[in-house]
Amino acid sequence: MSVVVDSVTKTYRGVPALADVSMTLTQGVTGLLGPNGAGKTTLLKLLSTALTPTSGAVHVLGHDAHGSLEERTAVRRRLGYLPQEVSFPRGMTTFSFVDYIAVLKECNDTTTRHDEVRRVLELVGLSDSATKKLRALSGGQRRRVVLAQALLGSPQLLILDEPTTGLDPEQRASLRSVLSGIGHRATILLATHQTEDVAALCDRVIVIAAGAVRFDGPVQALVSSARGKVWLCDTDHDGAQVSWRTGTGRYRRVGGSAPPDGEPAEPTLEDAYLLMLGSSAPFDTTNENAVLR
Amino acid sequence: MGVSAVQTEAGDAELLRAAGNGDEAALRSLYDRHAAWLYVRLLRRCNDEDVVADVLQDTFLGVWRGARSWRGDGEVAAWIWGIGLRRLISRLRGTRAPTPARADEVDSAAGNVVSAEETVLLGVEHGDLAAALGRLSPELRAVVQATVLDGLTTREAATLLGLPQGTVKGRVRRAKELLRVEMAAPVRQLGGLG
Amino acid sequence: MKWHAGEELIGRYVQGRLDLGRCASVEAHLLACAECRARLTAQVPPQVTDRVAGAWSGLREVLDVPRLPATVRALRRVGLSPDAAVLLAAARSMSTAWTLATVLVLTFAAMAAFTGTDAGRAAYLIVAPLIPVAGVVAAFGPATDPLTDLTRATPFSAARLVLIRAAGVASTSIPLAVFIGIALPGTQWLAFAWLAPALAFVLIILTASTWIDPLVAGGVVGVGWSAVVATATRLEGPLVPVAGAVQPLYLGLAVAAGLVLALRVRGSNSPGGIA
Repeated sequence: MSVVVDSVTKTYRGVPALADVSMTLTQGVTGLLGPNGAGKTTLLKLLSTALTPTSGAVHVLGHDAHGSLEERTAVRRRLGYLPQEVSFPRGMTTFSFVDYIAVLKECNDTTTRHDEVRRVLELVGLSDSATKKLRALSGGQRRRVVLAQALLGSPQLLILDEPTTGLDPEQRASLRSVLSGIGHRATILLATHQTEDVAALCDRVIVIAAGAVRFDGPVQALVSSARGKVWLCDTDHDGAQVSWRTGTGRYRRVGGSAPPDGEPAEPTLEDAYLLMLGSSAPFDTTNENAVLR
Repeated sequence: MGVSAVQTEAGDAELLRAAGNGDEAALRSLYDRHAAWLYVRLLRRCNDEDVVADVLQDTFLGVWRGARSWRGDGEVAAWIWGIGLRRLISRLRGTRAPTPARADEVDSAAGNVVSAEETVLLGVEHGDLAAALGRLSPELRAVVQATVLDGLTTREAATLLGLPQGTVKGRVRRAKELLRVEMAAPVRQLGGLG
Repeated sequence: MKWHAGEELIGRYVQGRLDLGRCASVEAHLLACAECRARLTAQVPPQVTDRVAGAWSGLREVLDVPRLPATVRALRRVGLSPDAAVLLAAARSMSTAWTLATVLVLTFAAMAAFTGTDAGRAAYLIVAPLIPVAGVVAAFGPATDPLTDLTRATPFSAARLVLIRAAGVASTSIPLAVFIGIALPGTQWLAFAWLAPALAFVLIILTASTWIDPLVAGGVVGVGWSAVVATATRLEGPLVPVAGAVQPLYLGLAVAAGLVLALRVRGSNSPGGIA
């Protein structure tokens, strides 16, 4: 049991961002899937000890994430955190930024620290940009810099908030290989609103919407929940929960009543996700052509 | 550094331009190609390995910083040598007399057996000059190498060799006289000596 | 390339068994031939390879690790540890926007003092020590740390970090404030007179913030000092609060506050209550 979240609630000025959320995380990659505003970032900030819950408890690797200073420090020593947004200080280079964080992670010996900085930069493919100023990097490169600092010290718990933003398909693929390499010995929680990332990387998925957990289990189980509810047809009809035009010119329909000329289709994670969200939560998907009925 | 130093993908000029844009891998490639010969060549001017290793590092730091302002004319290797030699001189400036450039232990056997390559290499240029130079004493050879072959000023040569400028001037004069005598041909072959 | 130097010739060159004339030719050739350069690289003895590799490691350190700013380098020489130096340099660079803003404020205050009137001098005297005070208060929050979420997730002692960042902010603004004070005629001595009070205030705020909100502590100090200077100006003149006889008072306050702060931090109470 690496991480135990026990009935955690977090309210901001009376508005609950998270309501009575519980979950247990173990080794491997778990996806935290949900639309924007669902509470993913809040949950991640709670796990990374940047925020304290209004009620409930979080235990990371046996330590209370919001307990005494010693407990919190023990958690932070085993943690790697990739925030959703990072505003970089001016004038820093790739190397000096990661070096700065490495000092904050208590890596005191200069030579070991510099070697570690180079190691993580190599992992994310930024060795050649070590001396470049941060503001001279592209968006995807900056994201990788922040990922690099999260990997410092080979943390046992890796918390990633939208790690693939701004990455092109090739970079996503290499991120996936980096994470699957680490997933064997660490607990990784990956928050995203992109189902492809979850499908490609995660064994487990937790769907969260409007501050509550809607699903918690193996990815396959979520996919299976849409079995028998997905069809492909040549013309569009009413009555589906979500439908959209695919690249081949046919229409994909999820949920609702079976169309007369529909051909049952093998469900994808995205289908299952849309089906689950469509029932009550605000709609959000990367598929721009989707129409929510 | 056991990797083959010749990467057929990029030429030196491309690498240098990339290094000017902050690409450290490009500098690494340039280093892999040029550091060894530069080290050896510098060592022949200054027989102190620690000094030469420092100068090597310093030279490539200069390459990194100066890559932007390289005008793209001529060989990159020649440009690098120019930086290296200047760095060596400034490194030695203000120090006590360094160990002088070593008198090469010329393999007497090798000196007699001239390979086919060498015949082509030298015969076309100045075979007589090579022989004449070989007959100079090590001190005179050192000043000839510094002033004529490396193109240093008297002052720079003095710094390199750890000698007073007057001594350098005197030796250059003597070397010129000896070579003029040795060689029947006009001295214009020697370039800077005329 | 009509000919190449050949393995054997290069070998002799590398071993130093070649006379000057041939050496010159080989060297000239190497400048123009990549292939022979590669041959040379392959032929050098292991100790040369090691030397060359070692020089690369040293070079890479110089390339990758940016040079610390001058002030921090100076502090390193007097014993600042290398990791604290990294943090201090970062803190200084993160507070440049803040420093620029304070320079602006300070310039106006100094120009007021330039008018030579009591009111002008009082204005400068009020503003000058409050600049580092405001900077230290800002050191607690996102104004001088754009990476708050990230830094909170790291194990480094938050108390130590606040102190380093406060030092970073103060050390960029104080010299500037002094410089501006000196540069404008008529305020020379005044430019230094507020340093002791500033030190005392900074330490008082840091200590007080182990109990109360740093913003509150800063506010109290700011209002209090302004009142003291304003009252003195009306009664005797603005220079009274920083007269030579009063200076030791501030130093005493600074020492006392420093001691209490040390005790509080030791007892795991950090400035700003964040941990």
